[in-house]
Amino acid sequence: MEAGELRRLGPPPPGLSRRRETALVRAAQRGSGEAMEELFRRHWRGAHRAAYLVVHDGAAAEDIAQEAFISAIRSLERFDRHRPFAPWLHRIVVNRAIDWTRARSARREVSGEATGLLERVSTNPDLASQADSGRVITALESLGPDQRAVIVLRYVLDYTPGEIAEILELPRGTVNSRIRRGLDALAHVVERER
Amino acid sequence: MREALGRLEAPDEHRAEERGRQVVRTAFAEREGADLRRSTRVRATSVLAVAVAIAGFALTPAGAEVREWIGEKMGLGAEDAKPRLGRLPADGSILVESDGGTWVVAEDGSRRRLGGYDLATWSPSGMFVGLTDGPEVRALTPQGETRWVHAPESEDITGLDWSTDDGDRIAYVVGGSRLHVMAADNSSEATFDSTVAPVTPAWRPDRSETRIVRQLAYVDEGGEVRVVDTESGRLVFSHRPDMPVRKLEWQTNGKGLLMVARQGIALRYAPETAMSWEPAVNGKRSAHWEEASIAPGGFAGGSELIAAVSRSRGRSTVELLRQSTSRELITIPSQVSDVTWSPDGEWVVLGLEDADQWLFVRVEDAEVRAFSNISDQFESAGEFPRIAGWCCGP
Repeated sequence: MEAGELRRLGPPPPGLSRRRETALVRAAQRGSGEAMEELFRRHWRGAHRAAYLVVHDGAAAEDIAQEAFISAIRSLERFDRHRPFAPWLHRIVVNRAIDWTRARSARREVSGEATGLLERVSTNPDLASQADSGRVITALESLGPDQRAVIVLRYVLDYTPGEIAEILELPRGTVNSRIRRGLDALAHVVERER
Repeated sequence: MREALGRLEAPDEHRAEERGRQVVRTAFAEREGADLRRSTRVRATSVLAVAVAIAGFALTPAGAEVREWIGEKMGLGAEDAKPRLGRLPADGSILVESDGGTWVVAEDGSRRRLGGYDLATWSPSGMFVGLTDGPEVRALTPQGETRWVHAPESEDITGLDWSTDDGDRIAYVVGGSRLHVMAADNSSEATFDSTVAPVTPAWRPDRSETRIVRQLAYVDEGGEVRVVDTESGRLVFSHRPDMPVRKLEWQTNGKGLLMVARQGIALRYAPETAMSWEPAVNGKRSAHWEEASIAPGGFAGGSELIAAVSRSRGRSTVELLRQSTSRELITIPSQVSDVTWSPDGEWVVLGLEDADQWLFVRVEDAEVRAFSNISDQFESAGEFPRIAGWCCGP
């Protein structure tokens, strides 16, 4: 993935994109399948990856992203189209991912997904970069689901701490401290893995 | 960090995207169809209009007359008081206990019978349902798949609650007097207290950022309400109310404990640092509310809002209470058997046994949506079906 592509996973930039998104939501509310397809195209990948990076389970991440879109569709007629679509969707995704991770923890399930991911990363051509990614995903697994979600919202979906506070309904100070603690923990694990 | 995370792909990403596209396309097409099939929406009704309608109303306890009243006075034509359950007005699924079985009602109004069970409770995220069948505790998925079965004793289980937040504990009462606590994955369990009253225990919501708090409220055989840390056994606080408590419910912020008796309700704050309790509902215990439920905390002020039901001469009034203030939501010429909040806190659903209806009432403007023939739809030949929980919206 190119660095520029990363930015496309985040919320749309203000201005024209925001207005375009408002128009898409309005059209979808009126029943336009094309508008819904465009919303899906814009937001699926971010939603799917965010879910995956929180739950670390491929099948669950796919289910969560699908359920989030279906939930959004069912709530579409009540959605205030003056609000941005992406944070609304990502809120559903992240909360469901957190719930799923907690439930898995309660069931004491052991997932083999992380190993699969590391193997996958190691087949990419840029070995140094892949090694970094592998260390990061291992480190990410060491965090609790709440911290993981904040890190993913900040560094994968590109939200500001203020936006994350709104999405997760947390005080901004809590978001900042979770980011700080999460980064500290990640840095510690990544360093240890080197 | 950003670049490293950005390089990661989810497994099977491209095919997952195509599968997701197909699912979303189908869901969107079904939504369009549902919208086309949907009849005229029920008109909004103001609280004032309801109050005017109530004035001078002769008591008519018979179900048919109640239904007629609802139709005439609340703007619900015969075609609007739906004969069958339809799409729920808010996200989430409803869990129903009936003598015809335990059921899950999905957002689109479809019903799934899980089986013949006694008690039911949602897990905190709605991924599982906790059920009892005589002396057995079971965990099922909402689709009906059994995850585990546990039978600690031979006597029946009379109260069941799944812990909030991390959802890793279940508490239940056996034989009306023995409180058990078990791990939600069925890996361990223990008798916690052998002298409790037959009241369903209530796990305290955990809002701690730094540690896991597992505290449980229950009523002992002497009628004392106790809040105990189930990991250490430490008594966090206790309170002996001047009425026999039959229901416990925590505010979702974990600060206040609602106690419901047949003679009234009380909300008591439970500070960590002091053993004292402070009355909070209108500054005193209310002697006329007989049923109550606290709004979910996912919206502004939700944790502080209580829907309380009072009954008088065949009428039920639902009021919304917030500390020192209250306002009437609706008055109905029928016995309201239970009150349950939607997960988004925007609706309450009232069970009307006389009318054999569920009444969904929007908190903001008292808009009403009614569904009839509830007993028949949940195959109940005896007691009116009871809503055991509405869980979990986005």
